[in-house]
Amino acid sequence: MMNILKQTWVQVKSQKMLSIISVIGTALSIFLIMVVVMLQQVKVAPFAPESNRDRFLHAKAASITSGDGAPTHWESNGCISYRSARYLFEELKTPEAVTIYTPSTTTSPVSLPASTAISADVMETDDKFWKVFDFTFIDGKPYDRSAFEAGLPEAVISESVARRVFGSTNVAGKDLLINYVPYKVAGVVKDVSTLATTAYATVWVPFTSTNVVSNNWNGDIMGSLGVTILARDSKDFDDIKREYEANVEKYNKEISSSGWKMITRNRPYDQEKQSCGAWANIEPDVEGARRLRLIIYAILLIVPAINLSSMTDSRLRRRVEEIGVRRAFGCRRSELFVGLLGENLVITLFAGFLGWLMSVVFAWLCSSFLFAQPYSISTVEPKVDMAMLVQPSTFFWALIFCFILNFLSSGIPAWRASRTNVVNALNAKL
Amino acid sequence: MDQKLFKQIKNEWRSNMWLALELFIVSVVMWYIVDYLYVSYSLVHEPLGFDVEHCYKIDVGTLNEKSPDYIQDASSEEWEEWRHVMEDRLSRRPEIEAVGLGFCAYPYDTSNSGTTLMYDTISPTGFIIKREITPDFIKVFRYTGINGETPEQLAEMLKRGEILVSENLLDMNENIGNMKAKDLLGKEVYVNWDTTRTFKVGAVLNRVKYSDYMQGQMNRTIVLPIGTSTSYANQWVVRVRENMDNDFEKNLRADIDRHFRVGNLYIANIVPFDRIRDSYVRENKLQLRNMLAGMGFLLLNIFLGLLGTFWFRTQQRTQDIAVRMVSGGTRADIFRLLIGEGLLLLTVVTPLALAVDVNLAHFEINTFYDGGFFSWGRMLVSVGVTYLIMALMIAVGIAIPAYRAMRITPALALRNE
Repeated sequence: MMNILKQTWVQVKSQKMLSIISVIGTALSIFLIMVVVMLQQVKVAPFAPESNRDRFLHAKAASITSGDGAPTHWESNGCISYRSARYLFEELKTPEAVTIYTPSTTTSPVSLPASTAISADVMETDDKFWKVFDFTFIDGKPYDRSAFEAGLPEAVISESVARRVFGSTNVAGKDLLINYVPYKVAGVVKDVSTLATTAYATVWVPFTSTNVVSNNWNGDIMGSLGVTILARDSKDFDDIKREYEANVEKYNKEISSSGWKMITRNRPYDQEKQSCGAWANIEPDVEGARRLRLIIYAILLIVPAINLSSMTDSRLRRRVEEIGVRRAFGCRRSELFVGLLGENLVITLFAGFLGWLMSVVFAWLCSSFLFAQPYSISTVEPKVDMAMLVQPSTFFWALIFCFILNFLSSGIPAWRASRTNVVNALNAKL
Repeated sequence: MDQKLFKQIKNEWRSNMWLALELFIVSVVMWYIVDYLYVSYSLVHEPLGFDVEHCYKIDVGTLNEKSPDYIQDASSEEWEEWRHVMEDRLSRRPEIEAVGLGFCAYPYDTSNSGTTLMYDTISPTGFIIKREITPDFIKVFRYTGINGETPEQLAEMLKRGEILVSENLLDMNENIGNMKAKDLLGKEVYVNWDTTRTFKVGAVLNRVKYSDYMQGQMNRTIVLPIGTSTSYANQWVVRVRENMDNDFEKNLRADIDRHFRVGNLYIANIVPFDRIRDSYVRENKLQLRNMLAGMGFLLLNIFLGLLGTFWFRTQQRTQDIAVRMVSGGTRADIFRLLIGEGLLLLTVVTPLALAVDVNLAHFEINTFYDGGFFSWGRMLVSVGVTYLIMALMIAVGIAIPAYRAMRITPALALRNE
């Protein structure tokens, strides 16, 4: 091991320019790959309050049609009514919990009586919302089942809203106006990043305390609500989908007189599928998104690998005599091959670490630019914390990509060098 | 000597193969990116058909019965009256030029409603955006007609109950023959699959795009009039006078409690349209950003690759270069020779890459634009730009080692021999 490190160091010193270029090339490649990995991870990796993302199934929208396949038919795609949400999801037996909420927040005035209102992003939820998502309460507690059922005007607010309205965060039990309706603060939670695309809001209230349930259309099939299911285990996803599909079938019989028929578009979607589609009338293309990422990784690996191969080749050509001598003294080809690969791996790992570090620092400093959320008019910028960026899995991926890059970039040159004929090598012919 | 020369050529051939392979792959990927940028650039520079500068969306909320201010048992006439008062108070503000209401109507709205029209046996198929608006909505976004109709004239037509259609309404259906949207001008048509009443087509609008980067069906529109009293006209929009668009949002917010809580209605939020536009086109912008980052990465790789290879090569060839200099080659000659080597490589690789590019376009793997994936004009522009950018990067990459080679003192270099 020490031997390889020493050899590498000598090589680096003797070929400064080529070594610097190799390190820059490798670091750059790993840097960009890791940025792509992180862009994906903020969409699917768990972090509070969406720590259970791997167990989520979302049905934030539904689709109904007036005549399946007919040349002229109507279609409606969007959120569903409370009646539909309850019929389709509330009775599901497999999941651990099901929450019904308004998937998009509404910017609304929040104030103390007789003072100027501030704007807050309000989400309307049921009480199970607080079971599905793991918010950190600084003060108070969430509204419970009885408060939800009674439609009590109780609200959970984020600490930044609490500070702006009350000037402090210990405000559970105090009163404030939301949309000019008096509410009691049930609890105060830590601020939520807009990257928590499902749970993000700055104020949460029970939707029974507003008129959102009566805000429905298409014969009380469509409305303003969506659903997130928390499965006990991701292995249950198929069972839950089957149960849901059976419910849709039953529901279609019930609503047949309205002329509408619900189509599932393979809902509910897991976190990954949900994250790669913005439109209710199109099923998200997970396979396409994965393929695209694979192509990007391939390009980000292959182009620098060719570059580095060419340079490794040049470097090894300088060392044919050495290789010849080692072969003449009985060094086996496989030993030579592994040795050369190992030397390169030291450089690759060093550069890879550098690239990974660059990507974390870059993501940290440029988070609002890098993680800007499409279709969000919220003025709150996406916040990232180190726990989101430095996931054990990103580290693992960086390492894997380093090995692939190393193998691609020095595999062929090292293989060729180790197979050189001893006599030719001693004559400096490669 | 012969053997040495042979060896050198063979050595060069090998590293040149690496370079050629790299340039080939980069050329294909670069072409894809340049083509994408070309399409985006072309799309963004098409006229939008509307103007959102100095426009604001006003969210009007309704109180519910839990509010102490809620007025119980209001009749529908009262609700209608409140809407009129709200509209009136907004339009009386000196900085506001026009107030419009609509349903699924404003630009960059993510919520759409579709419709079609029927004239004789002609009826365009596919999704057509239906925009139901009050006459002044047109003045807010400044739609114009193909015969030079001003927003004011178009608003008059809507007031008369006429409808407006976009000039590309009939362009995407083959079964319509040579008929164009402008031939519908002044005709009585059915809309919304309703054959009980007809509407007159008052004017043909210049194409109203759905968003800056949008192409195809979503850019077709049929504009229908609705009255302010219709409660489903839930989108309130205003245009602020250009010279008075300072702190509009702040000032209006400050006045909400005094002037803009009418009956059970109140202004809940004010959003400038440039923010709505930014959020809508962000996805496209992010895509562009990623493409540009990819392009930068590839170019940097070419730079590093050529820098490394030629650094090594000029080191190897010190004596060779010295001999050239001794036998009359100028420093500029040496520089040109080295750069020429790189450019020649690119020139050899480009036709091969072009063949792949044409195939990719044939399989529709690149970006859709203007009815297709391929045209020779577009292909040549993209390949030409790709060649130029790569040539520039090659030149920069080789320039550093070539400059070093130029500085060789022949006497010193040859003394080693």
